[in-house]
Amino acid sequence: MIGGIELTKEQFKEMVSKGIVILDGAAGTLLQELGMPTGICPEKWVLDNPQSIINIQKQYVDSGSDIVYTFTFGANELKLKEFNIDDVIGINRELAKLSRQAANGKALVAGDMSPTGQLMEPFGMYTFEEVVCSYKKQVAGLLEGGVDLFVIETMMDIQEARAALIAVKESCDLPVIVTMTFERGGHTINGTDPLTALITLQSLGADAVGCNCSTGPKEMIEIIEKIKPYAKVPLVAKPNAGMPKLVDGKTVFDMDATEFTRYTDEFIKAGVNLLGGCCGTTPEYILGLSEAAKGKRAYESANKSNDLILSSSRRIVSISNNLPTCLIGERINPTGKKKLRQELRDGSMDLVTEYAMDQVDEGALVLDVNAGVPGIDEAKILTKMVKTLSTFVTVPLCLDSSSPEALESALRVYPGRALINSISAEESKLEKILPIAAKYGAAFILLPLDDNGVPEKADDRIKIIESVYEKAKEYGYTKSDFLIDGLVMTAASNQEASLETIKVINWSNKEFGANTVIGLSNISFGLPERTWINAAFLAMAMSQGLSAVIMNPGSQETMRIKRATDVLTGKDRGSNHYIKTYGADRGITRVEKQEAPVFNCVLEGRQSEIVDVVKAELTKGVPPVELVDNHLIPAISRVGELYQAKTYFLPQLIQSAEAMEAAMSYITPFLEAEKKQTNTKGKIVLATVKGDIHDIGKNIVALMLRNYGFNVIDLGKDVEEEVIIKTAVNEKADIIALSALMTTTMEQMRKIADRVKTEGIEVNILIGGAAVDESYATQIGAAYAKDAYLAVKKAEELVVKR
Amino acid sequence: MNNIKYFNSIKTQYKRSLIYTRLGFEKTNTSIEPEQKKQIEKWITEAEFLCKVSVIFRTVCLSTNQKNKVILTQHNETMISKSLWNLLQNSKEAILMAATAGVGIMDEIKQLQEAGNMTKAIVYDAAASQITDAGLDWVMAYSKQQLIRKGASLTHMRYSPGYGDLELYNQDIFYRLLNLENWGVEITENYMLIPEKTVTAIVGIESPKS
Repeated sequence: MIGGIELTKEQFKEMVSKGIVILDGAAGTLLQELGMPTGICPEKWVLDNPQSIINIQKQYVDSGSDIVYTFTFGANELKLKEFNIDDVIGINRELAKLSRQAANGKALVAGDMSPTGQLMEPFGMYTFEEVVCSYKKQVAGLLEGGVDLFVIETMMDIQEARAALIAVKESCDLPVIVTMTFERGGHTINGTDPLTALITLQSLGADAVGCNCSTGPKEMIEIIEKIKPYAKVPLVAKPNAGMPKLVDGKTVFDMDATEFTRYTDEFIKAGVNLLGGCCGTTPEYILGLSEAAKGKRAYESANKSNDLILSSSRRIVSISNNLPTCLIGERINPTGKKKLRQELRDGSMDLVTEYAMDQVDEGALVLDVNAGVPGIDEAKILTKMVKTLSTFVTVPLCLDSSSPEALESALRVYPGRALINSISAEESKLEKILPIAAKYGAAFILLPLDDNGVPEKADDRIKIIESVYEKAKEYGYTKSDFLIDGLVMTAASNQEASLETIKVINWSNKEFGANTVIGLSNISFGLPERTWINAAFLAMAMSQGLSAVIMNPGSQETMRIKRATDVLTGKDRGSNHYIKTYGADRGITRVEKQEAPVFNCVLEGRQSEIVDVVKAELTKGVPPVELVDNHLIPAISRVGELYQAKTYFLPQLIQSAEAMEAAMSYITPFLEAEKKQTNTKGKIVLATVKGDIHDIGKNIVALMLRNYGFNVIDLGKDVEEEVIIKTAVNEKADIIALSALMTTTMEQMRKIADRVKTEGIEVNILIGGAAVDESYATQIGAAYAKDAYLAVKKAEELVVKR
Repeated sequence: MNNIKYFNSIKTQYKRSLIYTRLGFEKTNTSIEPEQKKQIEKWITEAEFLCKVSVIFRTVCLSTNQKNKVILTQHNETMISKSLWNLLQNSKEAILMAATAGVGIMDEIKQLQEAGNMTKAIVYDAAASQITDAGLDWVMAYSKQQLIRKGASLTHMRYSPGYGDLELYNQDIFYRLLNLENWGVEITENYMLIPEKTVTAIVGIESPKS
C-alpha cells in the first residue's frame, strides 16, 4: 500500500519504467545461520522468532531493496499440511505483518507464494481447482497482512504457476510477479522452456515474468536475452550466488558479492527490469546490485516480435505472414465422423489421440479441437480432450466451440496460451466469449460476421473486423493477439465469393496489419476432385500473405502446394523447410545399391515391398534358388558387414532381417516344389535361462540366426535347465545358445555347461546377454557373442569346427 | 509409508540421441535415410505416449560409520558396497527412488514381437529404457530444487542395485522401503522387477552441519 492506497498495476508499471527495481536476497540460508534448525516448519519458527526476519529484511531495505518478499515461501496449505499446521490464513497474515514492519514504508512488500511440493492431475493426486483453492487461502492471509503485490516464485510446473496466478487474479487486482526456476539445460523439470513460460504467463495476466533459483547469474542473463524480444511485461531475475558446495560441513556458494555484482550491467543490457538474489545471496550482494544499477534503465529490445504466439506447456508456435503458413489440423472434429462422435459420447479419447498424433506427424503445428456432438456435455468433453491432448502432444491447441461454458472450462485447465475458434460480431459471442478469452489470455480467430449473417462483400467484412477490434482493445487485445478469418465460402454456389475472401486477406495483411487464417475445405464443397480446388485456393490466399490455414494435413497434394508456395512467397526462408522435407538426398542411401531389386529390398529393409519384388522376379523366370543364393544371402551378408562397420545400427539390421524373412517365407514353398532346398547350416536350441524374464535380445538373435540359414528351436524365456538339455539331446542340436541379462541368473549358464560336460553331450554352448562377457564364457567353457550379428558369425564357426 | 512420494505419469526430459546410442547409432559412422529416421522418430513418440512413468521416492537416514557398509538406520537395513559407501561419506540422509514405465509399453513390445515386428519392438524397448531412466533424473532434479533452499545438495551421482559392487539382491531393500508392491511392481526371486522397465536408485543428500 502506498499511503494507505492499494498499489495498482499501472503504478507498478510506472515504477518499473523509471529504473531497475531492486528485489531482496535470500532469507532461508541466513536464518539457518541464525540458528533455525532443519526439519522444522521454517515459517512457524520465524513466527516464534519474529525479530530474526525483521532484522534480515531491514538489512535488505537498507541495502537498496525496493521490494521485499514475505517469508511465506512454504506457507501454502499443502506445504503447511506436512507440518500439521491448519491456520493458513493466520500464518500468512502474521508473516506479512512482520515484513511490513521491516519495510516500514521504505519498500514494498510482496506476498511470496511458491510450489506446493505436490503435482496436480494427471501427474499427482490434486485437481487444478483444488490447487487454485489452496492458493486462494494463502492469498487471503497475505491480503489481510497488507501486502502491496504478489510474487509467485521458484515454480517448476507451469500449470501450478497458472493455478497460483489465477488464485491471485480471482482474489484481488494487485500486481503479480511470476518467476519460474529453470534447470541448467534451460527447461523446468517438467519441460517448459523460458519463452513458453513467458508467453503463457504474460498472456494470463502476470505483471512481470522471469526466473529465480537453480542457476547463477550467467545462465539467467542468457534466458533474459532470449525472451526479451517477446516480452510485453517487465522481466525479472533472481539468480543464486552460483552453486552450493559443502565445505567442512558448511554450505558455501561459489560466487562472492563482488563477482555477483559484476553481472549487473550484463543483466541490464539483456533487458532485465527487476533484479535481486536467491539462494546464497545476502544484503551485501543486494547492496552491490543496487549501487551498480543506480540510475540505469533496462534495455528495451528494438525488434519486438509482432507474431501471434501460442503456447502449450512445452513449446510455442509463432504465426506470422513472414513465416511458413501455420498449419492448423482440422481432423479432431466430430462433424461427419460417425466413429469419433460415438467415441466422444462414450468418453473415449482413443481416436482423438490417434488423429492428434497423425496430424502432428503430417506437419500440423496447432490442433483444432471440436467437441460439438449433439446431446453431450460439451464443457465436460472438451475439457477432457484438452487435458488428454495437453499431455499427449506438444503443439498448442485451438479450441473450436461457440459455448462460453465449454470454452471457460477448457481454457482454465489448458496449460498454455490457446487459440479460440472463433469470436464474431454476433452480440452473444462478443459479450460472453471475449471476456473469457481475455481472462485466460487466449488468442482468437476473428470471424467477420454479425447477427445479420456473413456479408458478401469484403468491404462489409472489413467494417465488422474493425468493430470487433475496437471492442477487443477494451480488454487489452492488440493486433498481434488474433487472426482474421477471411471467411471462405463455397465456390460451387458463388464463384465471386473466393475473390472477396482474398480481398479480406489482402486488406488485413497490407492495410490493417494483422495475421490471417482460412478454413480451407469449404471452398471446394460440392465440387468433384476437391483437392485441386483446395490447393489452388490455398496458393492464391498465401500469395496475399495468409498466415495460417485450417486444413487436413493428410492431404498430400495440398501439402505439397502449401510447401511450394511457402518457398515462392519467401515465407520459407532459404527454402529450408522445403529442402528438409523433399531434400535431394531423400531416398538415396549412402550405402551402395545393386541392379538387383531383391538385393536392394533386403539392403534397405523394405519388408512391405519385398514379396512383390520377389513375385516379379519369379514371373520373369528367375529360379527361386538363384534368388536365394545370389540375391538374398549376399544382401543379408552385406547388411551384416555394414552393421559391423557401424554404418548400420540395430533397427536397420533388424529391418533387413525382417525383409529377408518375409522373402524367405514366400520363396520356401517354391523351393520345396522344385525339391531344392537351401542348405541348413545347423540346428540351434535357443533359450533365456531359468529365472530371467528378458527376451527381446534373444528374439533378435533368433531372427538373425534363421536369416542366415540356421534351424532355430526357440524355447522362450525363463526356461528350466532340464528342458534345454533334453531338447538339445533329442533334436541332436549343434549348439545350445543361452541368454541372460542379470548377474543373478547368469549362473544358470554355468550349470548347463557343467551338465553338458559331465554327461558328455556333444553340443557347443554359445552365450550372450548384458550380464556376461568373454571371460565368463571362457570360465564355463562356452563361446561368447556380444551381439546378434556376432552370434551368427560365432555359430557359423562352431558348426564348421564340428 | 507417510513420507513416500508418488507421482504419476510424469513428463520426463529424455534425450532422443541417447535412444539412438542405445541402438548402436554412431554419429560419425551410421548412415540413416530420412524416411527411416522419420519412422524411428515416430516410434519413439509412440513409445513416449505408452510409457506412463511413475516415480516413487522417500528420504531415509543413513550411517556410514562402518567401513563399506551403508546402514539405513531407521529401517535396520544394510547395503554392502565399497563404492556406494564412498559416495555417501558426507551424507546423513539419502533418497531412495524408483521409476516405472508401467505395463502398457511392455504389453505393446510383447505384442510387436509376437506379430513379428521386431524393428519397432527394439525401438520401443530402447526408448522405454531411456524414458524410464529419465524418471530418476526427474526425481533428482525435483529433490535438488527442494534441497537448495536448505543449503543442501545431492551427491554427484546415483547408484543402482546391480551397478558396480552394489549387488542386485539389494533391490529387495528398495522394493520394500518404497512399497513398490503398492504401485503395481513385482519382484522375482532373482531380484528382477516387473514391469521390466522399472529402475531403482539411491542418491545421497549432502547437508550443512546444524
